[in-house]
Amino acid sequence: MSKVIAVISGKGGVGKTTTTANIGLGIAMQMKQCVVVDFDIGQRNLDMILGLENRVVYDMVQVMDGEAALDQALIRSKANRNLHFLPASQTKDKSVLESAKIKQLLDELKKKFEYVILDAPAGIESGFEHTIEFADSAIVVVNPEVSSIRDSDRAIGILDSKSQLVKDGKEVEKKLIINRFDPDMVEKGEMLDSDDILEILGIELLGIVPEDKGVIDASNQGQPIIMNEKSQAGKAYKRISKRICGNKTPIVKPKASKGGIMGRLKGIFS
Amino acid sequence: MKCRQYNVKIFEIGLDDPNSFRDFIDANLVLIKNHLLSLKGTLDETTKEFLDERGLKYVCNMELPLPGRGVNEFCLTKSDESSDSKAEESSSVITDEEPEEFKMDPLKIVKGPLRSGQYIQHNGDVLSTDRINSGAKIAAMGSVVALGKVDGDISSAGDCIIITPTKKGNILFHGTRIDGEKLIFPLNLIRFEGDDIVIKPISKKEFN
Ligand SMILES: Nc1ncnc2c1ncn2[C@@H]1O[C@H](COP(=O)(O)OP(=O)(O)OP(=O)(O)O)[C@@H](O)[C@H]1O
Ligand SMILES: [Mg+2]
Repeated sequence: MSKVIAVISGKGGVGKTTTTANIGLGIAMQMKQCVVVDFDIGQRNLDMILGLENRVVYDMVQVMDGEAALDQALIRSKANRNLHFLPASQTKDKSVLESAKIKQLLDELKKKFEYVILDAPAGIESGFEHTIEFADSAIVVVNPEVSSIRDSDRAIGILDSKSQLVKDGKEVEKKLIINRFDPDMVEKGEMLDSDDILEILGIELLGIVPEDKGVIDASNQGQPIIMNEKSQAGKAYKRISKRICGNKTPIVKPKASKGGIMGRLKGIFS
Repeated sequence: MKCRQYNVKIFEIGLDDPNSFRDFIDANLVLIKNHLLSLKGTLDETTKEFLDERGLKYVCNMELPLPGRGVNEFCLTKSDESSDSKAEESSSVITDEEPEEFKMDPLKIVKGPLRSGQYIQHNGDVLSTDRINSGAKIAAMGSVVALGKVDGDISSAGDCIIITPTKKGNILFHGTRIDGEKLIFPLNLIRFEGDDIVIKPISKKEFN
């Protein structure tokens, strides 16, 4: 049974696209057929983070409108053959999306792939609603700050009232990724701790991804951080991907660097 | 002559500061829209228009037969202008029955967290068993009991609010803001005692 997972956040810029790219690749590394779909119509980003921008010929909207076949638009990742990518349209805006066409597209993707990951646009408007409409499950990405938490709380509320599964009397599975977590700041009382966030949002934790400067460079290079064996954020994404594929990998909470430079060095090499 | 007795809810409010008056009305519209406003002070044209736009009924500087605090309703007897056929049905001239529009709806139970953007507006009592998150709101004509953590807004025009400690939540009881610093008990009971709003810990006695 294949699964459609929407990656959502409410607030923009918290790491949805970064998460989509990394778990897409992570799931592919688990030998599962996976496709990542950019639902951020008009603000295409996922192609760049995956390093595939120069391969885009057709987009998702053209497939939905019958201007291109799905196989023509799908791009296979060079980093992992199990990963495919379906780009967003950069020229049109989100008003082009229609429920019936989205359903048809997702049904087609489900026949080909075990995991269909949708990268939602920022906000809670129509583009967001279309992304969650036919999702079986949602990954909620938050940053440890109050505005991000409140916005994702809002997004969860909308998910719980507008998704097709809920309308059919079922539940949409929801899991949380806390991204850009900085244990040193938490220790200093400058950042919300993961427990506080979980208590507010009341959904299951899928993983905690630390703040990691390497993420930005990795994205610029089109080489998602998960490919970097040494990176803490990359390792976190790897564990998350395993959990998505059903492995019982324990949650690792990033630890604060204990006292001075030696402690910090230890932290890096542990 | 035929008459009928109605129970009307009165909301008394001063007009000394027109701006904060209008802000207050808009902020509490849900709660006071079914009340008769008893205004004290000078009623200018702008405020009149403001009230009319919102369909609010009011009297100004009227001496009301209010028998003191605790009785927040009084009876207004008015003649029945209905046609003869209808008058036949209501043979009893004065009735004690509450008119339909003032009857409260049954208790509303909110299970699971109330999330940002979710808004419960209820003409009756509300029981919330889980969190009320920042950006969520409950407005009830009756009492509100909130057993989970409250970071959102609650307003009640009922007998009481029962609530856990909160510093973030915006709590209004009959239009009066409750200072979060005063909610110091594990469960706080907010209600009128005479003219004053008092906050007490919920004791076992209250449940009996
Ligand atoms: N764990 C992390 N550590 C450091 N930087 C990060 C991390 N995760 C994401 N970023 C950076 O944050 C920025 C926003 O990330 P991203 O584009 O993935 O967010 P988004 O939620 O998709 O944004 P939008 O809502 O605009 O689509 C990027 O510059 C990204 O490199
Ligand atoms: Mg994005």
